[in-house]
Amino acid sequence: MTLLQDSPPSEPPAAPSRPRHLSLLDNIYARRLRGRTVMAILAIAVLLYLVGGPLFILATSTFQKNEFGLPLSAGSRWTTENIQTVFGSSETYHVLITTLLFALGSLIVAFIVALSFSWLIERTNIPCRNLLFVLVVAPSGMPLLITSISWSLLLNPTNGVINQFLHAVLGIKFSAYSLPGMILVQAFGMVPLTFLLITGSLRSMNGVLEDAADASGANRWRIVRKITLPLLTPALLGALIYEFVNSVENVDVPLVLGLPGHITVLSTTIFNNTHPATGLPDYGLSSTYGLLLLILALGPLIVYDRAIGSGGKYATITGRVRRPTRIDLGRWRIPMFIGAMSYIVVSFLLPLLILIFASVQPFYSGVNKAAFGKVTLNEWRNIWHTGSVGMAIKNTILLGVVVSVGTMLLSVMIAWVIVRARSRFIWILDLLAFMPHAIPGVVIGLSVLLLYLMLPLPIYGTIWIIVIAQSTLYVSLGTRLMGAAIAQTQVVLEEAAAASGAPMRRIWFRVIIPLIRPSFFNGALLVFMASMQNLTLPLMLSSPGNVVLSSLIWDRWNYGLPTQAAVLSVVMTAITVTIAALLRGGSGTRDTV
Amino acid sequence: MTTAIEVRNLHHRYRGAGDHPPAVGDVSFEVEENQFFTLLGPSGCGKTTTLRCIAGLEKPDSGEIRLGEVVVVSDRTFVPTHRRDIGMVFQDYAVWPHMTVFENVAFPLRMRSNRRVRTSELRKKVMPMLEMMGMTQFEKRRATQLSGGQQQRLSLARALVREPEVLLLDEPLSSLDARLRAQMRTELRRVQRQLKVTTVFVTHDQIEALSLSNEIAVMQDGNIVQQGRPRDLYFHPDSEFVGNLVGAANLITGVVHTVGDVDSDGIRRVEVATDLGTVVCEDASEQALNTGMNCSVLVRPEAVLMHHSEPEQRENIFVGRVDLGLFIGEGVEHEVTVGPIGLKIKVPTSVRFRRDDKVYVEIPSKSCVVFAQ
Ligand SMILES: Nc1ncnc2c1ncn2[C@@H]1O[C@H](COP(=O)(O)OP(=O)(O)OP(=O)(O)O)[C@@H](O)[C@H]1O
Ligand SMILES: [Mg+2]
Repeated sequence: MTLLQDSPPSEPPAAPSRPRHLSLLDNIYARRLRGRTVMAILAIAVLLYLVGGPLFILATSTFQKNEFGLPLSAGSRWTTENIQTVFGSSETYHVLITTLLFALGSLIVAFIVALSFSWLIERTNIPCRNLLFVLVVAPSGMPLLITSISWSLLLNPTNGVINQFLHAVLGIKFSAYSLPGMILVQAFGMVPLTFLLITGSLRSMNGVLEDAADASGANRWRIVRKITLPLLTPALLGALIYEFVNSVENVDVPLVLGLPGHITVLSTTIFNNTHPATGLPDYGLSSTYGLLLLILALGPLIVYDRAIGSGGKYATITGRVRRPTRIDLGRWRIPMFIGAMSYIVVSFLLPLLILIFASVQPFYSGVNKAAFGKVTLNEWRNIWHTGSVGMAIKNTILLGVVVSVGTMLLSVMIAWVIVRARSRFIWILDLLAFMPHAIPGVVIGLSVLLLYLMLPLPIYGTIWIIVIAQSTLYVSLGTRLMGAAIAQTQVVLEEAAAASGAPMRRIWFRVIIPLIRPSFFNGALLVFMASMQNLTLPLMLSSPGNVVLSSLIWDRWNYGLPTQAAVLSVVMTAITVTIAALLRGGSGTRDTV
Repeated sequence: MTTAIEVRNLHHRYRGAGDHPPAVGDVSFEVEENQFFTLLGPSGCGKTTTLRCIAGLEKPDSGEIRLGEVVVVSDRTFVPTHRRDIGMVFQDYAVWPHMTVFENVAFPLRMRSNRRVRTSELRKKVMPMLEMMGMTQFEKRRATQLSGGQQQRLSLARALVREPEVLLLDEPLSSLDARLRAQMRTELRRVQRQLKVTTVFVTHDQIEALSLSNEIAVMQDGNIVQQGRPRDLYFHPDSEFVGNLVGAANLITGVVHTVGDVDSDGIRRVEVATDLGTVVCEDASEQALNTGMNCSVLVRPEAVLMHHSEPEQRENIFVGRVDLGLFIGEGVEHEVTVGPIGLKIKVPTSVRFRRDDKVYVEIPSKSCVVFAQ
């Protein structure tokens, strides 16, 4: 090197020229743990703690009985009594069947709606496609708890607005407090995410593949059957499994609509056993139900994983992709558009309006002339002075920020190790990170509850126990998102940094983090929103000291204060819909999930 | 001259490659200081793996690697990539899209110390580098706003700016189009000459290998099959494989008829009975050749001469018929049927041959290489 000034020789120790003789320093280099090994070990340890610990407790507590309190503590004994109780009672089978009917029913409705919208927006020339897209996705900002509350206001048998109308015109009523009612509301809640999951792959599907079939003489129906559907199958199956877990794990709809109608599903059974109206909680019994629910959720997932194989999980699209041609709807264009808009009005606008209306009523009692005369903003003024509201808002923000940042940091680490490491043992990490995806939230809540009731850590009853439970719940989502992001950044960019003399730590700060920053923020926002909307965990782990907005809304509603619940619901919906809109700046939402 | 790189008994098998043969079987070579050393071979022969082992991006199963005075790989040592004194250029540029051109080049300099380096200090080294690459005007651009050739130049500047002991190039020109590739080839050679940096270059393009290298090692299935200077490889390949790899070739199979005595220049006359008739070859190798052995004769298309009328010289003249002529600017490539076989013959544009012309094909004996089989 002559052109530039001489640089001091870089760090490697001066080794003797004969390779066989090694200096002490060389040995230290050889033995030193490489950065990625440390990270892998760290990631596995944290995941084992977050996922393994609670599950272990859940399993042991299933086989324990203690009349006075906790499993695995003084006075508890090993027994199969819980199993016998659960499987010996006909009640269990009834609950199981109700759960399945509820889940499958809402899945069918949600998928029909979501598929129709995906097809209309991505594959036809329906007008105002971008507007439709935004309007279908926007309800994802409305927490399921709030959707349930507003449908209770719309469809309850006594003064539900729609029922009032139906009764006046047709003389019939449709109660929200019934299985069909629950199915409908759960489906409304699932449509936005289902739509997002499907529409992405429908959009990125390579039109050339369909053109090729066209050129080979296949008619349109055969193209759909032989090319489009098979190509869409992994996405459809993935969305189906994901939403199935969603529909069996949530307590929102079963609590708000099922409880008044005496319709019990597995998640509410677990909740009722840990939070009985009277008497002591039965942790052994609820653990057994938890295990049952876990198996129910895990089954389809394992089948799916086998069918798809983990290879496709982080697959990225390469090569030249041509957008498929749009189908001309002809004279059906406008009717289809009106149909689509009607769905949006019914599923999103109506619930939103009734909430606002209920929030300005002294006590909601249907929509009629008298009610319009009583409009007042009292509750909007007074609610802020109630002690728990301030605390709930503070807790919600704390929870959201800590969970989103913490989970995403952990997820980046895990995802990087999974995508980049070439160790034979990475499947352990992959599996551990994937597990929470399959564990129903209510089960995570229960296990975390048990764990920290027993561990001598001062976490039980504080907001931190919810932080831990939610981090466990969302680490799969985070890992999935970051895995895709890291898989898209070429590994040579990191190798080039290493070849430029950058150690692992500096590769992270100067190359990896800057490159994945947009996906990171997007993921954090998504987790923040999910954390705010989540009711199951705050409720399962609730104490007077750790109330958040969602559990507060449920509390007020359950306590018979619909106006307060409505005010808080409107506030919360406003916040979460805004966040939903922020995800990749409005139209960019299309790239998420 | 001192040895700048020494690779000894390098062996590597990828995990998860099943029972496939190892990516690198047993590779040893040395590169003298300031030399341009090329690993040439077909796709999948282990060139990249060898280079990545030198860079430390791959940890070989066994073997030793020494860079300058430092043993970087041995049974008990493994110096991680960032502690090796190397510069590397990757096939797909690998410029960092989130940095400007200046920042890309400055990066290796920043990595030298843990404290913040002042930009004015960096400029002293970065700007001459950009100037050498003709990139000064792009200094403030995002790396992604460059054309392919500019990105390639940028990644070369980035590799060279830390004045590495060793420059490693993995098919740096293969993503460029033909014209740009030719231009960058020249530039690469110029820069390497100017900076006198020991270079290991990986390619499967014989023109790049022949034109740039001081020394070429030809790899096949994870092993080096022949190593030598470009001319030696081109004119005296050891095997059909090498002969075919370093340039277009006609291969004529036959049987050794007579083997002459070795003369003072180490050359012997070998007559081979082929489908064309007897082909006389001047063999400079030391391989064992006996009458009756199966063998093949290699001759380069541009070495074969073609005449309209019968030439006076009688040796290695065969009558053929022109099948096809492909005009390629600098010459014409013909397919000529001679007896039962077809020969590729490249001639200058000065004489025109037409389809179905009867021609006299002359194969100069000194251009024939014989391989025993
Ligand atoms: N990460 C990997 N895992 C498993 N096998 C690999 C991996 N990388 C390369 N191989 C295999 O090792 C062998 C050598 O690969 P290598 O990349 O060194 O070839 P190459 O000579 O650089 O080829 P090319 O000219 O196509 O780049 C090939 O058979 C390849 O399939
Ligand atoms: Mg290669």
